Amino acid sequence: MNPPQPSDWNRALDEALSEDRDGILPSLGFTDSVMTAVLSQAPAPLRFPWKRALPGLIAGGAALAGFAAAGVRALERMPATAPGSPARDWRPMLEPILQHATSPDTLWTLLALMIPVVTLWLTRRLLFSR
Amino acid sequence: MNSTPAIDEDRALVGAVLAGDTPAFAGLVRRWQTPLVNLAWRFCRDRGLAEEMAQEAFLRAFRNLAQWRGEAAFSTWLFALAMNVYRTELRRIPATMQSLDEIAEPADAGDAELRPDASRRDEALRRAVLALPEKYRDAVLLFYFHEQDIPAAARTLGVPEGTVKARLFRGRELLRSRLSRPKPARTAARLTQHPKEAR
Repeated sequence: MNPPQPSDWNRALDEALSEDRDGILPSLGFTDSVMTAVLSQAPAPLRFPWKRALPGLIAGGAALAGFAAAGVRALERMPATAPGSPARDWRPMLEPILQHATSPDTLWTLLALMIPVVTLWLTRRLLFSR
Repeated sequence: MNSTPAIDEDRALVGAVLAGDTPAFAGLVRRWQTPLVNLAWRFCRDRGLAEEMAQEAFLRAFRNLAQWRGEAAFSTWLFALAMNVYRTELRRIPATMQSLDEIAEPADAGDAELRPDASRRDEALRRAVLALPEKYRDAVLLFYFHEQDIPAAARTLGVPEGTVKARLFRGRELLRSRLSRPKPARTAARLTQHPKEAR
């Protein structure tokens, strides 16, 4: 018997192993099985670390309020009649804002601004709590 | 094996999973389950074990999804990762593969008289490939898995194309020299058999 030549051998190997191209199909429940394993390993959605962030948020809020108060005090100390002074330019604009800050219209505006924020929060909560 | 829209879809699905939408991973599983199970099946010829190994590969992919940088196609990254998983799993659960010396000689590739035994010859060849040393076995199996595309096999193995060519050549030579010998073990053809198959 003559030993097979390399070209014959390669052809035989090609035939044998190329037939595997279609191979097998995964079982029907394969995706579900993988996803069950994946979901059991998936980390829980990260919660916002309120406890850790609270001191920072309070400090930030206090600093912001301090800056605002200092700004208002600085404006008040400036002579309103000095030509070209910021107080002369800004005080007339601030007065109507301050007057309307406590009106019911302002509360409605704030409420309207809150609605998209709350909607977004609820949507994320419903989506990621599955 | 992967077109541009498919690459974009993979990218979108990976992005969704990384953004916290874990169920979006099912889209990736559905897209790649057939090639991954098939790749595993070529290594063990056992459907149950192939699915177990493919599941482990998907789990590993999920855990390491953030490591895919998007430079290569997702499939290239996935197949390379799967190859590592399959190698590890096969070492952990070694098949009772016979050595090349023990494998029965297949019908002579050039012998027309033995053509009716072609399916037996093919099966013996497949088993002989599984009995090759790991680096030649991987090169041969990936070459045919990637439809005889050497660059794709090289990317999956993470080696240069020249290395794949050299391993293919050496693997074929090994198969040819061993399977052409007189057949001492044809009667005792234990052939490649995984413990699960033996049950």
